[in-house]
Amino acid sequence: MASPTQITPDPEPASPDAALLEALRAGEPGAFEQLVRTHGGRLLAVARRLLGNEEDARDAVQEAFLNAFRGIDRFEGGSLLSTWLHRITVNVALMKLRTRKRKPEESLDHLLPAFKDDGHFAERFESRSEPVDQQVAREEEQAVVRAAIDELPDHYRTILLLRDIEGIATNEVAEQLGITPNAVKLRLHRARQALRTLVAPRLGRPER
Amino acid sequence: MTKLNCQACADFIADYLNGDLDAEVRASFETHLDRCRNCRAYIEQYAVVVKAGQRACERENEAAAGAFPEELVRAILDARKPD
Repeated sequence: MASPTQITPDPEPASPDAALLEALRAGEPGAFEQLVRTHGGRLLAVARRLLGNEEDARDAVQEAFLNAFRGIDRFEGGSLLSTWLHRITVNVALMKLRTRKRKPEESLDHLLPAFKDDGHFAERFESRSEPVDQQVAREEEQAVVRAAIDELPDHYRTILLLRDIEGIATNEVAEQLGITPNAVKLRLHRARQALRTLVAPRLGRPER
Repeated sequence: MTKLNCQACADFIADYLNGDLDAEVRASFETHLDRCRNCRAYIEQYAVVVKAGQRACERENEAAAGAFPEELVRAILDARKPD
């Protein structure tokens, strides 16, 4: 049996960002602009994914940078600046999501696999002849999955983005969303199953 | 060793792929996988979807890295200035 396929994002390597950090703390002209120009684009991508619209995403990134500027003296350098900024942006985006009018939780049951009375899957699934890494590398495959993520009900999409894409730990997601770690795990699993169901026919995998 | 069916295995996929199953459950899970082609195909599709989503978003981040709107740079830097 092959070893399990690792599906959590790789942690970033440690790096001190020492020169920029020193310049930021010294209030040097240009240091804050460098920080914004270096990291702003990626943070905007994160905020767009979580918030789903450009205006809210831009507001979130602006607020995140202002929080970072104010808190730069409290940044201890235990992580990369990019990691610290990413976390601040995620927190601001989640705060914005919380202030939106709450929608009733949408069911995902129609996208979960069905089983026969004896516990076997009701459908037949087909393996591809090519290895997983080759399938994943195909841009068409990526584009189809990316589009399907945005079709997931909000409660599931947010958890999938936080865990699988942004790499936030289960316990932290649970704390941020006010649910138990087990609920995070269950929703993540269901969101992935739903995603598989959504993309299968679009990638030429009709089920029998 | 507990015998698992497809439905029970489906519940354990995330923990299996993360390496979080305890030894006994993992052995039962892998015994089922060895003889169930349908479960192997399902898990392959599940893993591909997760990894393809991650790769797509990495590419999205890379594309966005060099395309931060100039007006937003100015807005952020202006908002930081004291009144």
